[in-house]
Amino acid sequence: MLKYSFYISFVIFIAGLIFRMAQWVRFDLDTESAEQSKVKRIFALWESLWNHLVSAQALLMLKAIFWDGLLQVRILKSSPLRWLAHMSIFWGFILLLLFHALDDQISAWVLPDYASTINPYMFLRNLCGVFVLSGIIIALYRRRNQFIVRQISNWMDYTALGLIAAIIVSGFLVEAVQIISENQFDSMVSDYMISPDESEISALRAYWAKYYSVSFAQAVDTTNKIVLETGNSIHQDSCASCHSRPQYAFVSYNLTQSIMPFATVLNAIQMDKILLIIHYMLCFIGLAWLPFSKMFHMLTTPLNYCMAASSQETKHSAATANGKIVSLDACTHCGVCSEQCSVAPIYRVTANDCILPSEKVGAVLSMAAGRHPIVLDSLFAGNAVCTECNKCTINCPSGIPLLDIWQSTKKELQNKGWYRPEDIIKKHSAYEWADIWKTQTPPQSFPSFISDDPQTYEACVQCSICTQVCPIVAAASNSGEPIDLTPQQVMNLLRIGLKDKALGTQMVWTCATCYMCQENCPQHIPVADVLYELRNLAHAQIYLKQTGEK
Amino acid sequence: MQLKYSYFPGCKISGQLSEYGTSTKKLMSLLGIEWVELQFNCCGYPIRHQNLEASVFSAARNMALAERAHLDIMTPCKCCFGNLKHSQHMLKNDPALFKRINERLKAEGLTYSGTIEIKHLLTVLYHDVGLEKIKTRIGHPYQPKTIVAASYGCHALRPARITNFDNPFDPSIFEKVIEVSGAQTVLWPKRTECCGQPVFERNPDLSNALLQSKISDAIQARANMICTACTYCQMQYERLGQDKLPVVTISEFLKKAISGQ
Repeated sequence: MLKYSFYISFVIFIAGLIFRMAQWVRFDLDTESAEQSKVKRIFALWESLWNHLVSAQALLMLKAIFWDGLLQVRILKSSPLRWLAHMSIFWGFILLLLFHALDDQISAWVLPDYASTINPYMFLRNLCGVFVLSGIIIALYRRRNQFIVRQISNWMDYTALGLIAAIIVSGFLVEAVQIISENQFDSMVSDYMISPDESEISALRAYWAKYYSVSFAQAVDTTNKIVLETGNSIHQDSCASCHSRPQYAFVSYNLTQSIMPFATVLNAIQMDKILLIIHYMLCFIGLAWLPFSKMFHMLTTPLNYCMAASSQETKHSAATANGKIVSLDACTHCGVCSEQCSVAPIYRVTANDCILPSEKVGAVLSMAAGRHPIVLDSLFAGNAVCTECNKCTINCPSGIPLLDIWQSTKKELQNKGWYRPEDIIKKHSAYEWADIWKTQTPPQSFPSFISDDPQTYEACVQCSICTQVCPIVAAASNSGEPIDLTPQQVMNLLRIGLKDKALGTQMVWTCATCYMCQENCPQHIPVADVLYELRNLAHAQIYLKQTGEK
Repeated sequence: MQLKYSYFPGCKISGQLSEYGTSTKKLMSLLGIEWVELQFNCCGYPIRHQNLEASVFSAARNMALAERAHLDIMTPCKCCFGNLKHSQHMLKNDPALFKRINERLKAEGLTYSGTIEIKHLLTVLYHDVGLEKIKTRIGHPYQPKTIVAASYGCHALRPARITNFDNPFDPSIFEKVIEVSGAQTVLWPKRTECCGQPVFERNPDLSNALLQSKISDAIQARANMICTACTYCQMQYERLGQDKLPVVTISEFLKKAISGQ
C-alpha cells in the first residue's frame, strides 16, 4: 500500500511541477508579454533554464546557489531571527531527506558502515529533527508576534509549518514506539540471530528489556545477573555491531519513557506500524502538495536567484515574460516586504490588504492568469497607494523585483480598463457629476469637518485674492484652457450650499495644494484645506456605481 | 550640546533620489550632527489627497516611533515636513481624532502624545547648528559669481501658522544658509511658488508649465544655479528642467563648500 501511495503522490508531484511550469508560459503579466507567442515562450523557457542552470554561467550560478541558496545570506540581511528559523528548518529537513528518507539510495553508499540504528546516525537524526522543530517554533513565534506579519499569515503558511512539524513529530513517535516494540524485537531476532534457541532468546530478552527499554507482554526477569550476563554475550555477538543504545536517540528515548506505562497496549495494537504508516503518508502528502503550495519556492527561489545573478541580458521579450512569472512564484509569503512597506499604515485604516506587497503578489498572479475577479479592484486601489519607496524589493529575501512588477501592474490595469480617479473625473463636467452622484446610494457617513460648516465661509467677501494668487489658475489660462471654476467660485458654491456641484470641479482635482490661497486670504478662510477635503469626499464617491448599474 | 535627530528620509529618497539621502547624511557627518534611522513609514503626504485619516495615522506612527526614541525628527523633504507638521497640528486640535489614532497605535504598542518636534534640514542648519558654526567649516567657499536662486517649496512655508518655518511672504533662511558658503543669492518673484510636482501625475502639461515659469523667472533674475531643499522639488527640476539651469540640493551644495567634493 505504501508503495502505491508513494507512486500516486509522486505522479501528483510531477504533474504539479508541469502544471506550475506551464503557468510560467501561460500567464501574461503585461500586454507586452501577452504579445509573445506561446511557442516562442516555451522555447525561451527551455533556453533560459539551460542558460541559468547548466551552461556558460555555471560559476556565477554556483556562487548564487552557495550564498543565497545554501547560506541564505539574503534572509540573514533582512532579519537574523528569520534566518535562524529558516536555516534550522531548511538544513534539518534537507539532511533528514537525504540521509534518512533516502538512506537506501544515499547513506548506504556514502556513509561508512551505515545503519539507521547505530550512532552517530541515531543521534544526528534526532538532532536534525530538533533543529526543524525549533525552527518551526521560531517561525510561528514571528508569525504571531510581528504586527503586520500576523495579519497576513494565512492557512497556507500555517499548514506548511504544521505539515513539516507533523512529519518530524510522527517520526519521533515512530522511533519511540519502535524502541518498546516486542514485534520489532522478534523480527530482529529472526533476521539477525544465527540458530537461536529458546534459552538464548530469553536471555537476550532480559538484556534488551533492561538496557534497550523493550517492553514484553510476558514479564521478563531483569534482576538475574547470570541471565543478563548470557544476554550480554549474545547481544555482543549478534546485535551490538549494528544497534546502539536507544538513549542516543535522545528525543525518541525520552518519549519512550513517558509512554512506558501504556507499552503493553501500544504493542498489542501494533502502534509502531500504524505510526509508521502515518509518518509515510504525511511525507507523501507533503510531496504531492509541494508544487501546489508555497513550498514550491524550494525550486523557484533558487531559480530566481540564478536569474538575478545572470549578467546576461535577456535577449528575448519572451524570456522576460517568463521570468516575471517565475519571480512571482518565488514568493514564500514570508511577509518581510509588508513588514517594511512604507504604506502599511494606510492598509490599517482602509483595510484593503492589496496595499501590502505580500498580498499584491497573489492578486497580480491572478491578473496574469487572465482572471478578472473583484480582487483586481482592490489591487488597482491598493497599488495606486504605493509610493515606490522600493523597500519591498531591497528587503525581499527571494530577490523578486517587486517594484518593477508594481509599475507594470499599474500600466497593465489601466490597459485593462481600470481608470485612475483623476482620469475618470474628466469624463463629466462638475454639474453632470452632481447629477450622477444624486442617483447613487449615498456613501456611508463620511466624516466631513470644515466643508459642511457654514462658519467656514461666513467671512468670505468674494474678493478673488485666492484666484489671483493661484498658480494653477494662472498656468491654465496661459495654456489656453482656463480652469472651469476658480477657487473663489468653488467657495461661493459651498457658501450657497451647492457642495455636490463643487466635488467634480477641475479646481478640486488639479489643486497643487501649495496653500497660496489660504495664506493670502485676508479673511482667513481655509481655502486649500477645503479643497483637500472635497477631494477626499470625491475620492470616496467616484467608484460608486450609479443606482441600477452593475 | 550634541545635536541628534531621528533622520526621516521619506519614500522618494529611498526609492528614487538616493543621492539626496547620501549627501544629506554626508553633510550631517561633516557638521557633527548625529542621527539614527528608525523603522519609519510613509509620512502620509501622498495619501492625504484620498484619505485624511490614513494620512494622519501614517504621520502619527512615525512621530510615535520618534517619541519612543526620544528624538526630534529631521527630514530633508519639505512635503514630509509639511505633512508631519499638519498632522501634529490636527492631532493637537482634534481630541476625537487624537483618541482614534492612539487606539490604532496601541495595537502595536505605540502611543502618540505630541512631545517631539518636527524639523526640516534647513531649520536644523539655521536654528540648531547656526550659521556661525557652518561658516567655520567652509573649506572650499564658492566664488561670488555663483548666483543661486533658492527654491523654497510650498509645504514647508505654508500654511505658516502650522508649519512655523519662516515668514511665508518674505522668507530668508534658505538664502542665508546659501550665503554662508560664499555664493550670492537672488530675490526672484516665484521663489515661493509651486514647482508643479503635485500635479505631475494628474496633468503633466500644467505641471511642466508651472516649472518652466519658475525657471525662466530664476534666469531673468540672473541666477546661474537653482538650489532646492525638497525631494519632490528636486525630482521635478531634474525631470523637466535640468537642461536650462543646473539644479542642486542644499545638501550637495553645502557638502561641496565644506569638503570640496
